[in-house]
Amino acid sequence: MIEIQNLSFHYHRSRPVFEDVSFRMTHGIYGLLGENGVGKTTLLHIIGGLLFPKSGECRVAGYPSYTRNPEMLKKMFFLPEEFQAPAVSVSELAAYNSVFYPNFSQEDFRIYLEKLHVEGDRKISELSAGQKKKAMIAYGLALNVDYTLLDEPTNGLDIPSKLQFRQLLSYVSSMDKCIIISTHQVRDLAHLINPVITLDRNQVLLNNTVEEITQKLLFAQTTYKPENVMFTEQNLYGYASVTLNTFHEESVLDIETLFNAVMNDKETFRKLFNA
Amino acid sequence: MNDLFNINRFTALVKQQVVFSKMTYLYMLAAVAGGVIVSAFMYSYIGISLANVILAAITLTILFGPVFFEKGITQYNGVFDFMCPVSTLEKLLGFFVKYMILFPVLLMGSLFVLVSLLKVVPVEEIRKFAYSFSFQVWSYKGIYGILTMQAIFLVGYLSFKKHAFIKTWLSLMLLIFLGSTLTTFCLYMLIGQTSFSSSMDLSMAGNFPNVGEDSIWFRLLDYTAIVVIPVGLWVVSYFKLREKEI
Repeated sequence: MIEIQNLSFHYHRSRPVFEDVSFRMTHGIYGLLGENGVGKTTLLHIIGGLLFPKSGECRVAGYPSYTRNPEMLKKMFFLPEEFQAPAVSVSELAAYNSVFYPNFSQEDFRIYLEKLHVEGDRKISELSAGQKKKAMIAYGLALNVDYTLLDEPTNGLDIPSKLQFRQLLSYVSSMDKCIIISTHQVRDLAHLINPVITLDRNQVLLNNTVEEITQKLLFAQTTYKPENVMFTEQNLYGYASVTLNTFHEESVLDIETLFNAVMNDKETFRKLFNA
Repeated sequence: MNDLFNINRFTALVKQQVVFSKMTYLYMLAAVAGGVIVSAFMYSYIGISLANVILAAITLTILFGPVFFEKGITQYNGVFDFMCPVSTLEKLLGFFVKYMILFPVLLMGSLFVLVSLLKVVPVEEIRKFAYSFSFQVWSYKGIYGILTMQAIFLVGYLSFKKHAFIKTWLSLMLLIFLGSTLTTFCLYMLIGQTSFSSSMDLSMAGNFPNVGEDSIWFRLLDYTAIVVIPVGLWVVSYFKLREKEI
């Protein structure tokens, strides 16, 4: 479990990123959403022990993240949005890094590389940005860790790779794993993400499962502009809208519309979901 | 105890560092070999020996190793290193092994081997060139001094995000300047002079125990400084590494 208690963080005192924020993450594929600059990457860095809370605490598997305890780190993998990898081959990187992770599977790594069309004997420095990312995704998923943090994992991936990534993600996710994906490309992962976390300046607006969201909200797509709804926006197919699911109808989550609706009226949604 | 240090984990870390830096080591070996061979030919044909230049270059490479060969710690290249499941102590010992053992042994060792080989080459000029190398600068005291200075630059590398080399140099110069100023000020306040000289009134000195260079107190201070300064710098490095944020 990842526990965040009364967390406050800032880069500059006058502009706090988080102010007294508390929430938990247990298992599932968490979608971490938010506008640019709200602190999605910062949150991942705090969870990974790369940044330290100014006050409050962040605990991963019971360990304070800032201690960077090896027992905690071997249960975690973080793939940043941009990175520089050492000048070795993909296979060498896995061979000499995976020794620290007890659940690494060489066979899984080979299969994931094959599915993502990355050659293991190529030097990472010779790969394109997309190929580097695919190589690290294959490596990260093959570690079979309890906590996987991915910052914009689909950036730079071609369309077939995005499909493969979604398939791999469904394959590796399980009841005891927590995968946190910070992304703006919600359509790439729309049917995988559950729960959804939406961050805003200094606070968490939403931290709910898809079931909890669809129990309270009804998402609709109509050809006409609906009235008396919480939020509506025009798209290529007509109008997407969000309204209260008063009669508990079956509702299919539209993450993009949800995000826009939340950003449009933050206070209402925060109170509705009691985040 | 396992959280602080685990020999298997540490061994795996050292192996990883060696493999990931193998090209650096190869380039260094090539540079030493190339420098010696070129210098040998230069000495043979034009009589100029670059032995001291090579020795100085190797000394400086060891001295500035942490700031030259370690990539700057940024969010683009620090994530994997800092999230590697090893303890802070193991990371620091990894630096120790790399820069205080592997680098010096590789550089100094390869030079020593090459020079020894040149001494048996059946060409008079090349043998003369080989004998022109003086390894006295690498006496125990010399190596100790190099590694102490290297520890200063390691602290600098861990303290400064960018331009660690220049900033460490400037900080060192500033520290020396402040130290000299403070010493001069204290001397002036104590004895009314800004430097030691033969005309100083040392009549009070007889009332105090012998504090000359041969005294036990001076030696105690000397040996304490020899141990405390480098160990202290490494302790500072440990805390800097532990507190490093990316």
